[in-house]
Order: sequence, then structure tokens, then C-alpha cells
Amino acid sequence: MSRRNWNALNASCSHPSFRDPEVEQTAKQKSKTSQYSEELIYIIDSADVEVTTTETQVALSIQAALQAAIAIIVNISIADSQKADQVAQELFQNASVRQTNRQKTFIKNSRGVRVTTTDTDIAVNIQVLIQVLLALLVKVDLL
Amino acid sequence: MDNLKKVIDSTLRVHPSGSMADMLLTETLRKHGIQESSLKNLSSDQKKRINQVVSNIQAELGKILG
Repeated sequence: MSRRNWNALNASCSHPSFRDPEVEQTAKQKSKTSQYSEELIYIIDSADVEVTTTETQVALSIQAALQAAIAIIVNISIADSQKADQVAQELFQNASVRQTNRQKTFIKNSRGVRVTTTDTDIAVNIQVLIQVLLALLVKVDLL
Repeated sequence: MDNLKKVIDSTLRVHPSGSMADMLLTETLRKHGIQESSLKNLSSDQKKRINQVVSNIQAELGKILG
């Protein structure tokens, strides 16, 4: 039996990914795991250079701590542990920015340079997780 | 690290009611059939445990950010 292929020119033909909920779930799970940050700083033939950078590992630690706190509070608040896990998982999937961040800083033949960099993606993730945590505390009447 | 501190401080100062995070949470709970009213009636033990988690995360953030 031949399977009918999706046709982009046929308006009545829905894309298969919109019909199959498993495909959507797979995509969400992939976005959850693709967190990657890299920062490279090159200082060549330079003097009196000051580079200030947000430490990515520290930011990731904060992110993990916030996620753990939210997961625990959701589990304490919702009696059905399976539902609690689903809610927590969905919150993290929706509240996380996909992180593929590469920062490269080149300083060459320079003097008296001050550079400050921040891993914006992680900062935004932390911001959203704090907002979710606060919203959760309001829902359970503790804020 | 100062920038991260500023982000966290400014976020903590905003009340979450009506925020996108609040709407996300409301919608997620609704989708899974959880009544928000059930969350308002937690036992004192549950509230105590949640307060403990909040204290821990505050201490951890304080320690990490110096």
C-alpha cells in the first residue's frame, strides 16, 4: 500500500507534524536538552585590558537550583504525583529559552580596553524561572 | 556577575500577578485539570515544606551571588 506524501502546494493537506502529538512532544524535549554555551576570549598583542564576564557555570547552577525548587513546590502542592511531574516538565519546556550561545571576543593590538559580556540567554532563562517561581507562590497563597 | 545580580534583583521586585509566567502557570494547570482553588487550601505542613524550599533557594542564590 502506497502512503500519500505531504504536498506543500495542496492547501488541504496538513503537515504531518501538526497532526501527530508525539512529534510535537519530541520537538519540545529536544529543545529542552539543547542547552549549550561557549565563550572564547582572545587577547593578542595588547596591554591594560580588562574583561568582565558573567560566569556561565554560575548562571547554570542558579538555573538548575530554580528548576529544582519549582519542581519540588509543584510536587508538594499537587497531590497527584504523575500530574505534578507533567506540570513541572511542561513549565520547564515552555519557560526555557533554547540555548545555543557562542560568544567570541577578540582584542588585538589594543590598550586600555574594558569589555563586559553577559550570557543573555541564560540570564533570560533565570528571569523567567524566577517569575514562574513567584507566580507559583502566589497560587499557593504564600506571596 | 553584576549584570546577573541586577537581572535577579529587578525580577524579584515585580509582582507576578498577570505576568506571562502567571498566565503560563494558569494555562498549564488548567490543561492538566488542576483547580487553582485546590492550591489555595494546602495544609500547614505543605506550606511549611514550601517555605523551607523557598528559604533554601534564597540561601543558595545568596551564596552563589555573594
